[in-house]
Amino acid sequence: MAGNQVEMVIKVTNVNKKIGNSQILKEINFSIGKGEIVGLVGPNGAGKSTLMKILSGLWSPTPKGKCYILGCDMTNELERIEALRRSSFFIETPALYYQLTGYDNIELYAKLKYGNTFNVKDEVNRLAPFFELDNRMLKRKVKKYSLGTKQKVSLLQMFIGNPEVLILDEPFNGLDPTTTIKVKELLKKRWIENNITILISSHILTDIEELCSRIIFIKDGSTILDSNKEELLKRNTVVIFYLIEKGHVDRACSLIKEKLPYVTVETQFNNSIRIYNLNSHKDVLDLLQNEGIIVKSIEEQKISLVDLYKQLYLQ
Amino acid sequence: MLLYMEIQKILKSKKFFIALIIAICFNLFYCWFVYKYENKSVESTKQYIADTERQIKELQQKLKKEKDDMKKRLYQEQIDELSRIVQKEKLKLQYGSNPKKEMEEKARYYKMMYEISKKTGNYRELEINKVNYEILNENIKRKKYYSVGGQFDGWTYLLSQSYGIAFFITIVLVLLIGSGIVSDEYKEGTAKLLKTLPVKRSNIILNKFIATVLTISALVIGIQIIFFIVLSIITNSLKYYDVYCNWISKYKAIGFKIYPVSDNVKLLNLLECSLLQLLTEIIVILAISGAIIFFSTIFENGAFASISFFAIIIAISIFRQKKLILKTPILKLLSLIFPWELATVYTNSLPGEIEWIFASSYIVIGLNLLLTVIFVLGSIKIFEHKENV
Repeated sequence: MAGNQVEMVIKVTNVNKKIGNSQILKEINFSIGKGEIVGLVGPNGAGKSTLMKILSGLWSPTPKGKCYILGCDMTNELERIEALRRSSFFIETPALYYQLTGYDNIELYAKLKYGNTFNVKDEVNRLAPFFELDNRMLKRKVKKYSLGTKQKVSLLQMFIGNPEVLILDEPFNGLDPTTTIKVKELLKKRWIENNITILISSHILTDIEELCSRIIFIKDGSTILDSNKEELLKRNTVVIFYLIEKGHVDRACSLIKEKLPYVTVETQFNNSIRIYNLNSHKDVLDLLQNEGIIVKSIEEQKISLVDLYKQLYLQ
Repeated sequence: MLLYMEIQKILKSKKFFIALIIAICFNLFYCWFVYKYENKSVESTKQYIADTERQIKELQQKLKKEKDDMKKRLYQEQIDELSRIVQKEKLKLQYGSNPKKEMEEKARYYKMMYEISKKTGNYRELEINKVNYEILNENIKRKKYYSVGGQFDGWTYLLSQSYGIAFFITIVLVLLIGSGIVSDEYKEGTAKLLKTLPVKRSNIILNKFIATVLTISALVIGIQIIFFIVLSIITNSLKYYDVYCNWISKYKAIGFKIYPVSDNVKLLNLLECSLLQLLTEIIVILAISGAIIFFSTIFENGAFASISFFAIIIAISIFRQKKLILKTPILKLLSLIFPWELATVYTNSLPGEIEWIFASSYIVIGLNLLLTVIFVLGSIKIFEHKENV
């Protein structure tokens, strides 16, 4: 075990991945300390799931790349086993045996991970309410489950035995709002009580914004931004200009795009335009007034993760 | 725990239920077949003798025309085997109601054939006839007038060609149960769950292999034993366990062929012979399970694994029949590594009748075990490095 890595719970250095001719990951480097909740954000094909698979030891990075979890090198079998015993991985889709019941699946997983003496029943009884699951449901065979129920059982497995690290790839897919809220509560509870480290990848940006203290943005296999959420959202603002006439919205947008190319602008339904990265309101006001476009009011808002995503990926 | 999980997965799948039904149905069909064969009427026995004699004549004509020495030897061996079958049927027809007389006549026949072989210098025939005579003579001396195949009972069911049907059932069950043992994990997406468990990946494959072998052994051998016990109780044949019926011996090589040394023959009784047969069945199950796990690890679809496995069996069988047989000694030796060769050992050796014993069975067993190890190690390596999850 690499002793000097222990203080960093997750450490990724020089990770590259090539499949066929396409370079899926390019020089990924980051570290996650104990107790951090980190969100991994990026569009489809950005390389999030590939990174998750490499982190879990399912895939290998190119030789010079290394992944450490709890100080264990994930490319070394014995160290990986040690890391896997202390962490849980949910990768993309539920992985359950359809011929067994939900409970059997959980029991096998728990006993293989923590040994035959592990008290599965009590643990399941404790966790099931968070996933809106009851005994009747857990005693049914998985092949009779809906996608959402499979997701719930599969996620429940990940929380068995208080793992020190949780790596969750799209954990909220197919979950109903009630379960999503409860699972998020459980995540927060575990984080508060046990100071666990969590890495979540999700397309639902509001969930990431709600849960994570730090966000890593990935684009085309590279990290484009890795920052503390509060700082990231605090230093960026969005300004909304409410216009009087509906017909002016498109013209105003085109004008701003042409004259102020450094800003990001988008139209909204309520006769308004949203502008990011604006240095001064006056630039826009002058520009619109010169063209005879009247601004009713101006409002400055804190940027949301969705806004930030738009800036990073849609421009 | 891994083994428990694998067995539980197999037992709770639909495929296991289908496999159980197939194994029972095949055994019932086989019982009916053996019963019908052993209790055939005088007329049909005569017809059978006539058909076999016609077959012998055809082979003799082919033998005359053939110029290739290897093929000539093959034809001669077939003629010798068929002649023994005809003789056995004739004696059964003549002395069917008097087992003592039938056995004495059969012993006399083998002794006579042994003397003829001595004169002609046919080493293979000499050994076979001599040991056949010794078996019958020992039984006569001990007043055990019982021969397998003389009637339909537990021993006849178990030993009379049952290896052939067991081999066939094994192939079907291995295809049904084993083909998806790894590939289904990829298809259902559970491979990633297995690979993120804190266990060695080699243990995963090893336990899958053991689970497959145990399940198939339980189905093939377990059902065989149950059928045997039930039939033995019904027909009260269990008491004949110490009747000699087969033999094992040391071998000596003549050229590239291996022959038994008759001075070192150990006669086997029905119980010993049955245990040996069950052991051989286990070796076949090991080898075939190893092979199917290998294909199942390569393909992500169980059907592809089955088709590839089956296609290779057929292709090699055809290739072996057409190209390898008795042609090049090295190729012949290579052909021994395939598990289905073991079937030849047993299907061609009727207990009580020493037919063409594939004397190199130890080599076959050794190579099959080696093949099993290679297949399982290959599967482990592929599983460890496969990234399609």
